[in-house]
Amino acid sequence: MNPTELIGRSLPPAAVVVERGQVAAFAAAVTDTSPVYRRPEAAAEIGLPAIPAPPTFTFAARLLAAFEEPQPPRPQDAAEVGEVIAQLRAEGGMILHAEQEFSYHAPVLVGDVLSATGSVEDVRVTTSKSGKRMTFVRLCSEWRKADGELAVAEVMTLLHRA
Amino acid sequence: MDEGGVFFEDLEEGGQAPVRTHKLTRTDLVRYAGASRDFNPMHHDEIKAQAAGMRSVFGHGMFTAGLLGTALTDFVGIGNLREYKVRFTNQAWPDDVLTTEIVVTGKDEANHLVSLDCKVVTETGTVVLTGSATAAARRRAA
Repeated sequence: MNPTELIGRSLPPAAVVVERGQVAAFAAAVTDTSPVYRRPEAAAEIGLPAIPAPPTFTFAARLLAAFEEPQPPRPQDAAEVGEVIAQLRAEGGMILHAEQEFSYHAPVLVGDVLSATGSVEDVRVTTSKSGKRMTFVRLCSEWRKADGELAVAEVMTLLHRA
Repeated sequence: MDEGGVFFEDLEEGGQAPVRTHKLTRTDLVRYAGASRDFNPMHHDEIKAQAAGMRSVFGHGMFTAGLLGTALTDFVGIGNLREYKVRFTNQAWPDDVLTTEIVVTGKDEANHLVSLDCKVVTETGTVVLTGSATAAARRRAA
């Protein structure tokens, strides 16, 4: 398979529920001891109406908080990140998480039900100095609040070396 | 405690944020695996990691990105980041002492945004990740 055929494939859409316990546990896991992630009053002191999620939380949110019943229907052509990886690795090689980007538009707050959409934005094949084939795959996701407002846009870049 | 972060007016190009230092433990990896539900065995199962040719389990890239995110929000205030990008350059191993480095690279006075370069290095100088960020640091009341 030519990996550039992945360009334009959508990622499965997801709906996630942002919960207080998950946010507190995630903050602790990234060594953040700020009371803002544990106490609504501390969040209010910095002008937020509820406890916010740490900056890298949405990267994990599909795995953490996608409960069964609010999930949107899955388009026929949608590819899970795992399927993208499996296709890249069909003939061996190694997959690395090369880069991760976030842009923040509105705070993600405890109580939000966020919806995510995403797609394979680009696939670029290059050759390294040592002659290895390097395939970079950019996966873009957008996280929106219940009213449709964009909260976070993310780009995950995978590198396949073979 | 004031959690609002540094004031825009107090930032200068070349200025550095307080460093955050953390000695990585296997418990950190397990805690991050649980909190993120990333149960790739390379990060918690020593037997499988060694069978795959690794010397031991190693840190999730997103753990290190999260540690650096904590240093960034400690500096600019929670809720004030506008962009955050990282490039993963090396693995972090248990017992590595990870240190964050954040430098102010520019100030956009018109939009009140500050640009930052950031990275995480080990005590032996290995760069685990490099990155950049943009933040809307709070302003002093006029």
